[in-house]
Amino acid sequence: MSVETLKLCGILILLAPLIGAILAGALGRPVLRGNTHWIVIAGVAVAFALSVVVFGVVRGAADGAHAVQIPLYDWFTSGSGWFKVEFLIDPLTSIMLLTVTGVSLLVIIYSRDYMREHDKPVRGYERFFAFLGLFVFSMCALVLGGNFLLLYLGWEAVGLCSYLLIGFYYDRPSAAAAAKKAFLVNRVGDFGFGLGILLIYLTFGTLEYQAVFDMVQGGVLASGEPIATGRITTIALLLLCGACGKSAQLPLHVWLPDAMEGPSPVSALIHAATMVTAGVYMVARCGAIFTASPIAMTVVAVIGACTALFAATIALTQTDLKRILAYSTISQLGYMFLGLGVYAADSAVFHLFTHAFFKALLFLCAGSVMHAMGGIIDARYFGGLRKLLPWTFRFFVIGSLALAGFPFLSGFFSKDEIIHHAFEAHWLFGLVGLATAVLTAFYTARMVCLAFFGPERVPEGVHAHESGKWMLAPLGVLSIGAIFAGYLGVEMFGQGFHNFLGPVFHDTFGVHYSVVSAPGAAHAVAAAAHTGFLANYGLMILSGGLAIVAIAAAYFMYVLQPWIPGTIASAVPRLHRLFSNKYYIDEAYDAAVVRPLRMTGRVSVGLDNYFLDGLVWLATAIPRGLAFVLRGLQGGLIQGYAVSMIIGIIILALVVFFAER
Amino acid sequence: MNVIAATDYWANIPIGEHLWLVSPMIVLVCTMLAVVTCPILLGRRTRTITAVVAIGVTAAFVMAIRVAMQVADGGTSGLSTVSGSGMLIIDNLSAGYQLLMLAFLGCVIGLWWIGSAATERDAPEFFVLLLGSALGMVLMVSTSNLLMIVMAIEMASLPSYALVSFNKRDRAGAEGGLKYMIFGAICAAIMLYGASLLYGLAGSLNFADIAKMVALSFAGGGRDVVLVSVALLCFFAGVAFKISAVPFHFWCPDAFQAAKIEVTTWLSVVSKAAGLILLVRLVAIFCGTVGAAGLMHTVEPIAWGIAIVAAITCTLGNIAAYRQRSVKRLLAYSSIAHAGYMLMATAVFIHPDVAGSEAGISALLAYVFIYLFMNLGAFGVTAMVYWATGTDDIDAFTGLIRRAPALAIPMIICLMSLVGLPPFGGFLGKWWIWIALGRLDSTLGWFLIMVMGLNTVVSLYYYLRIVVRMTLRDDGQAVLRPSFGGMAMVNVCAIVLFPVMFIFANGFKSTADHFARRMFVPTADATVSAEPSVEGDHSAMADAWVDDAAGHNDRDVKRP
Repeated sequence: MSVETLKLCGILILLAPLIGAILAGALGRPVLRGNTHWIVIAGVAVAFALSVVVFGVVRGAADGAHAVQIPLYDWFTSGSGWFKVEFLIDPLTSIMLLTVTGVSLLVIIYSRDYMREHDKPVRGYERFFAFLGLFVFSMCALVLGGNFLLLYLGWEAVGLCSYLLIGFYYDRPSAAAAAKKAFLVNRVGDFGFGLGILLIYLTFGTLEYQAVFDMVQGGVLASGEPIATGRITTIALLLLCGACGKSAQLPLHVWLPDAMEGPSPVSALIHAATMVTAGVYMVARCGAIFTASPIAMTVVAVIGACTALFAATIALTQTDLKRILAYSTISQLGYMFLGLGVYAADSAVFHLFTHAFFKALLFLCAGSVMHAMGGIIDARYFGGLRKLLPWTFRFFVIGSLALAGFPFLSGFFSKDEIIHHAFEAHWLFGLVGLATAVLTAFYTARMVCLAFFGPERVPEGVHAHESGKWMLAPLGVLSIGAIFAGYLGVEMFGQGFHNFLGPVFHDTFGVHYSVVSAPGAAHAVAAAAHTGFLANYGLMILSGGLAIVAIAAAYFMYVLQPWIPGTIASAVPRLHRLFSNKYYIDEAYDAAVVRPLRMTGRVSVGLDNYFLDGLVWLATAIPRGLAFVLRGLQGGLIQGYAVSMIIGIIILALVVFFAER
Repeated sequence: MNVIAATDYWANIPIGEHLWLVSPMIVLVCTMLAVVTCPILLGRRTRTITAVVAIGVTAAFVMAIRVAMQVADGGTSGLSTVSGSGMLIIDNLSAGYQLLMLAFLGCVIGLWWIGSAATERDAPEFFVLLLGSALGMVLMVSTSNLLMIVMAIEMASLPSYALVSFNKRDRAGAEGGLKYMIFGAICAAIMLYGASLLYGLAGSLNFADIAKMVALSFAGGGRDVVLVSVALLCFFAGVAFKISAVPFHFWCPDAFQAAKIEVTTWLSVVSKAAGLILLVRLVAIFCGTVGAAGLMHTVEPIAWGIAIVAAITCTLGNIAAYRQRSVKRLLAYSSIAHAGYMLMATAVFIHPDVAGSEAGISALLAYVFIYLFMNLGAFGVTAMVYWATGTDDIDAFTGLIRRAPALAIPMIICLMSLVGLPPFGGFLGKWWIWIALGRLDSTLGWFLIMVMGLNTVVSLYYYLRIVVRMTLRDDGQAVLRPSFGGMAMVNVCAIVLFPVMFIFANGFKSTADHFARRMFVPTADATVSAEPSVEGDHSAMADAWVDDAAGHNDRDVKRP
């Protein structure tokens, strides 16, 4: 691999969006104004182009060099610890880079029109683009970083960007509250994540990926002592804690639905396609640690399965399009975790990849609807939009079909793989996966029916109009991805995706792959070992069929016979209430965590005001008193100064004299 | 070969190579002469004079870059700690300081241009004084010879007195300048007394010989300890005066407040840095000599003396800053406190290993560098506010974040840096001093760490007071429109402090380490000295003492 090329590309991938963001922030308001988007688009476009280069270099590399650690410089030393700024570039990195920069580019282009009202930039237009650029920089830093410290920095930086962008409309109380909630819930996860990284440092004495993973796989520390399995499990579970926060898995999923208060492009980019997948990326990256602990792997799979099913049931009853999509995202992320937990990391990353396309597409379409409906996105207030917004409708349907797992669209292939591997691990996981797939198809179809079918209804005073080409063009590109991205991983097309990623996961997740692409290295590492043709394709046919049935059922229930849902809801009122109130988890957290904390906060404020402030006052009283005395000394009379100085010298002389004795 | 011995004054005129090494100083002198003659030839217009000075300083800067490059690549550069007369030393340290100082001279002239040029009638005189003190400061850091030290300190101080009271119609300025001068005179007298004692005791003007003599006497094999201590202490007074260490600090707040703000910046930043670098050089020589003789443990009282002065200096500076309303005066006290922190790092020389002592010197150099930026930034913003509002009272800063965010944000970074909060540059400086002290692992080290920690907490209060004023309070004062150049300057300072220094922390520290290491390496070829015979005899005697005391000594000097 041409290391120098990769190094240069890596640096520029980071710098281009960062410079774009800085320029947008510094020059946006005074100079660029409505043209601010150009500079950020340019930065991210450069990053995307270079990501393609990185992909090409990594793909062209001989098989042995599938991962390359590139040190940039030493950051700082502390005691015996060295912290370096370094990259780790391997197929996983390059896939993530492509996904992140590609989707970002489209979303930023889309935002140009979205962040305008009547063709005038909204307030904070420059701020929006500066934050987006900063986000792309942070996310690239997260996936490029070659050690846990950089991972943590990137992790926190994307969290910060997420906070800033959720609260973009900060004068809206609900947005401010949502931003705060996202930040605080993520703090809970990040606390565990931070502890995990500290524990890694304490255990292994280094934070470098390769060194840590080598030790874990070898089973011995650098000092030659064996590593306790319990320690590995603890580390893995602590890291998982962070992943649950960032990727909105149970029980830390509560922030993601509220995060939809942010502008729709932000939801598409950060809360669907990229940032929330950081947890998946992290678990895949730390495969060595997770796979060394069967307990941790089981926990990952269980959390994933539960989240997938749980979020899908909630999505059944929501009416806010963006909230449905948010729960759907949680559910799909659950799939990815399930995939990781059943040792199918390549399938999980594959699903991450396809999901980025169709979910970003869906969110952007929802944004387009919202734009047309004057900021309203709750499907109770509108319906039958398919004539009003013909293009948005078409793209939305494509995205929905991909999400629903309609045969031969991208979501179908990637989801099917995960279900397939889940069945291999345990039939229960497989069954949960299948059930979730049915629910997904149903609620997705329901969402489309509510918004686009039936009699035409629009909110009062809204003049609905189709979005402009700045918004529709990215939708078109994404929908092409949503249709075709799945074929990259299909067996009959050579399984390019899996063979590309295979080397990363071969030693840890035991992923099989065959080498066909690398020039001059055409030896097969391990023949792709597939279970029988029938089991594989049988499952495909089954899940595809179920998806079609579920879609048909939804169409029947919500368009042809719209009285049915109400009847069902009143037939099982408790279940319906449970779903539509999201299992009362927010309420439970409110009672169990938020209120007690508030109370503690009030007590603390009281303590702070009356006790601690008093203490501080007392503490500062000493220097203040001394200061008063000293002011007397510095009275301005030079004779006094001279005397003080002479006395000082004499005292010093005495000190030296007596110290000498 | 960069130690220039100017002993046989006329027979040994430096050849071209040596002239290159001192070219920045020569350019400075020429600029001064040009400024003096300019009014006769071209008239007294401020614009003309400033242009001449700007050309001169730029030329000196270019020369300084060349010198820095010439001495940077090892081998011929580096300071001889134990040999040579050290009359004029051009090494990494002095070249580096020279470069920075000239850059800051440019900044100060820039500040002056923004704020005072319009009303200035005596620009030529102002520049002569400014350049003169600059020359003195460069000389201060480029010597280890008593005579030169005394001369250089005077050369730097005399113009400074006049600069403080430059405005003839300003009573406060005149008073401040007079106080400064009287104080300086007393200190100079004390220092001269100490220097003459040291010369008498050691029989040499070279500080390396004096260091040997001191070590011997502390080891009990030489001159009377009390006499030596008093002599050292008195000599130290001169340096302490320059860096305003307690109890030689009284001039500092009065003079700083009385002076024009650009002069205050100049004095607080560059002049103190010069004093500290001089101290670093002396301590390094001392350390090298004494360490080579294996007598380090005997000089512990000296380290304690420095430590106590340092502890008192920073505590006093911080406490006195508490009740100040004038930000200029507050920063003056803050600069006293920082001199204390930096003095602490010099006490680390007592570490038994050379590596340990180097850590202290390296931390100090890093701190000086950081200090330059944070003080220039803070004073720069204060100047900008002062010129816009006519006062430097803390009330003038109220609501600055709204009135001039491009000033308030760098000010916050500089103040946080002065407190020493991570991730700002000042934190790194403190952190490294802290580590160097910790590595001492002795009562002295822990004592200083404690003092420094407590002081950091105390200082938080008065720095944050300004930050709170700027950000959380707002009484609706008018928006400021500072000049672009000034804004650019303070923002560059802030960007250096954060994030540049934060991102490149290690590279920065290794540069400082590199400088520090050079100081302890006695370069074998750095011996051009042909000392006068009378000195030679004495120093030979000193050598003999060292040999007696240490038994064997293979790191000692080879004399011609």
